[in-house]
Amino acid sequence: MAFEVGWYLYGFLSYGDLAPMTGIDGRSPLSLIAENGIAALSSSVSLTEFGEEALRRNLEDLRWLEDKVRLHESIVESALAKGPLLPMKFGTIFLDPERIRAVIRRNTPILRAALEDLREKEEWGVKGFADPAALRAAVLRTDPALLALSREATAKPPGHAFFLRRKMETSASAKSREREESFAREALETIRETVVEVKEHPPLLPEARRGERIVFNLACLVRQEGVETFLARVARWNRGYAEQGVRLVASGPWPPYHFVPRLDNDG
Amino acid sequence: MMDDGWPASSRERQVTLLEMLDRLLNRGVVVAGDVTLSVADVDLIYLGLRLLISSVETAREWGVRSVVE
Repeated sequence: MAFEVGWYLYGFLSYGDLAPMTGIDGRSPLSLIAENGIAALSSSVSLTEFGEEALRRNLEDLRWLEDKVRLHESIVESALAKGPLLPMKFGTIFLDPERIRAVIRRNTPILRAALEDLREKEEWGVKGFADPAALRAAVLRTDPALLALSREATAKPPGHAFFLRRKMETSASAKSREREESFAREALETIRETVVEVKEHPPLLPEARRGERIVFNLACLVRQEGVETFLARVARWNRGYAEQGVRLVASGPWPPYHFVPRLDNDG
Repeated sequence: MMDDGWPASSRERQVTLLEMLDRLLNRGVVVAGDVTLSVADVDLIYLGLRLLISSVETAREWGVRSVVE
């Protein structure tokens, strides 16, 4: 076989020391493939496990996938503890380290600028959830116009009261939707003030509790010194909207997967 | 799809797993390596994941990350 070993890529970082650690195969040591002062964090992998066909086969084995994804993440995180790193998408393997050097050579200014930009910053996720039933109950409980309708209905004969209640129901649905939208807007404004950058993206899979749905899914780039303020804002927002049928959930810190540059792939 | 009977801790682990996959498979630096996951491969993984997370028995230990609510 022409190539029996490939090089799995975890990320790009400024050249520096590397803690001794094994790679994604659990055996081979991590190494740095350096060029122009930038290094690719990498380890050798057997192509019987990570070659094109083998990889496709292994991806169908969720146990294998779980294990490798966890290893990729933990390797990225331990390298990240020493300084900025641009994390790779899972499953990028080169057959020749020289090709990795060529990628760095072609993209040196972009890589250098991105590493500088991400210094002392972290990625955090924020999801907004809404519970339509609770949201509606809160609207019926607090909206002055709906409360007035409700009072009016109790004072009218049954026939008239029925129509008033139907009107109330329709209005409550519309007001719940409006309120959900304004909550989302307010949450985004609150968060935006404490972060460097926000990106909205569709959630991978529904993860809401019973009766809840995801209203938005954000990736936030936060200054390390500002993380406490950011989390306090999220917590304050949740306290302010307790009992309203909406909540925010923050998770992190993550490597900056959503804030890496696009690289030139040609050549 | 999701089973709400999960105890909170294993639910949290599943969420961490999903968040991790969402980032590792969809984001990160994309370079055309000699072997690179294609879009079709990623879709295949997501299909498998839907099956995985619909089963309570497969909820396994994952490093729990701080989750602030």
